[in-house]
Amino acid sequence: MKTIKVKVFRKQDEIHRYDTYTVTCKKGQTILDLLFHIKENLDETLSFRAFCRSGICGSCALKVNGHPVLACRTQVKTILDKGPSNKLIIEPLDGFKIIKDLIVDIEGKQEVLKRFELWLEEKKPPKNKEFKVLREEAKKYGKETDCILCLTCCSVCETLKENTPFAGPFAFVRTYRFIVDSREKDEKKKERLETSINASIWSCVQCQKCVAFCPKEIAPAQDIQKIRKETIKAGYTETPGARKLSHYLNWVYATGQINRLYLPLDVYDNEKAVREFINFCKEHGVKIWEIPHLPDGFLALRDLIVRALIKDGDIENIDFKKIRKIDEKIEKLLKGDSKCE
Amino acid sequence: MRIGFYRGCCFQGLDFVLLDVIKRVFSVFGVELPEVRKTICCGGNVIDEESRFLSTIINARNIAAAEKENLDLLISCNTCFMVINRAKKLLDNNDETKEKVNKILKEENLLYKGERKIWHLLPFIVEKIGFEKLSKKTKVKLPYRFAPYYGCHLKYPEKIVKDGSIERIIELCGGTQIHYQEEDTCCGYHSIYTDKATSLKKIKRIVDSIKEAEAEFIVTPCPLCFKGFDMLQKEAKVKTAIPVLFLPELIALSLGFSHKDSGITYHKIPVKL
Ligand code: FES
Repeated sequence: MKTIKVKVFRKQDEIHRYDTYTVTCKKGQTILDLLFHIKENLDETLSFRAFCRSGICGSCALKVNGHPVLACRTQVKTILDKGPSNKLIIEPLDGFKIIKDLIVDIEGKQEVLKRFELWLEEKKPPKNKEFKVLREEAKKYGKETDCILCLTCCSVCETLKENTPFAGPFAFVRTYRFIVDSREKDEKKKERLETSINASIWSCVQCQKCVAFCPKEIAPAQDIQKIRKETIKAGYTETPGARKLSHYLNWVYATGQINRLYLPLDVYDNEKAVREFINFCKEHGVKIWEIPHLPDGFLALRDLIVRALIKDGDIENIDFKKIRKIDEKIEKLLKGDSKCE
Repeated sequence: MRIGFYRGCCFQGLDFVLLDVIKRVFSVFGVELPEVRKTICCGGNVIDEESRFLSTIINARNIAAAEKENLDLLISCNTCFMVINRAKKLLDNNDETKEKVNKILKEENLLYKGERKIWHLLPFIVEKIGFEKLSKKTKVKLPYRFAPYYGCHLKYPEKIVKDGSIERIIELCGGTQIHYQEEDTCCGYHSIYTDKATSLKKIKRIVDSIKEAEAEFIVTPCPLCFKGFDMLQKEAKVKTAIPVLFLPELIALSLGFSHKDSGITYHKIPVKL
């Protein structure tokens, strides 16, 4: 039993303020219990969303001491043990319009769900049989099926902050969940990849905040990476992101390093950037290289990469024509008639 | 003290200078940084798009190369640290993957054991060198207003640095720490080559907020964030460009190194002291 001060964000009729309530917290009490306690005993005007009280409906996400949590799954004690004092600050999720107090407007995200058609579109099952989903397959998207649409990922998303047409991490978690489901129609999978491209899948900055805060321990940023790969496999090979990945694969395979000199050229056909880079180096008396610093054992490394990729048939993604060109440069370098740092 | 240095792909071309600055600073504290020559690019969280297994094995090899020389590994880049640390955790908790990886590494006479520690530069400075030693060696006071910028991959998905570490170092160097609205915002470096418009917006958002807080310099321990801030402010159309210091540069200056030896003469946005 401990008496604490709880500061709660309030918004009514466009007026924002914080109200402070003094409460005695009990063992095992969650943030949601605390909010109900305030509403029932101290201030009936306080508004918040909750339904299942057991981490399933996703409606109670909010911010406690600056971090997003599910109110029903977060014990007051855990927060106080972490915090510097016996103070709690409860606020609505970031990144959404606030309707009232702790309730935010999620309508835009419901639109995303509709636009992405985030439900399974099944093929016909084999004649007189049912679909079987084997354990191995279920493992691929088991985590993703845990998504409860609490929108915590959107509230911390660094890409969404910039108002791009980016759909938000949750949309890609669910998309991934369906594109790896063997029951889904192939046409639908293709459609999903097109939707992902149109919804700016390559705009994700990979900050990893969604991975850090997802209350279900899903890793949305990683699902985004997996869908990116699927888009490349489906033929979207000319997006900057696809070209960047190709640069990484080819140069790491050939030299153990990416090549910052050629990266702008490989991704954006930007010759000017390469020239500027060279000039800037010259101005400062720094040597320019065509091949970055070669690590020891870079040839043995190639075997390792082949072995790692061959299993999933991904070895084709290395552009061996390009590798031969890089090898010509390496040969010159080793003979000593090329520049290197 | 000796610790293996992981070079990664951050130190190419002009950024080679940054590597020298790190070595110079560490030598003042008696830390030798032998480069682990077998280490390669961590894949920058990009190779992961192709294959998580490839990323894991590349980084198992990076760590195994250091282990073979009986060295811990020092990593200066936030993203390299995150990616290598992710591989390490996966390998340390999954015997099946570890075995699969080691079978392939064996061909190069390498073995991933997972016994050596991997360090990011900032926690290494805080825990192994320590504020006391740092403050004893500082000679030049830098009475400026510095905005600390940690960078996402030191904090997310996992926090590996104590709050206030950069702030402490700023103060030891004679500076004032400035807090600003957007200090937790991502610099957008990783979208420069996937969606440049987004990364420019990120830079602008942060720099404008730093300007508003009236800081004179940005300080960051991540060479990628550093590069983003130094290279892209003009293109991002910030209100006023703010020079940025890579954390070891700040320390080098306060240790009394010349401007050239501290690396600051190589910046795109001039550092005027
Ligand atoms: S009330 Fe349903 S998840 Fe919290």
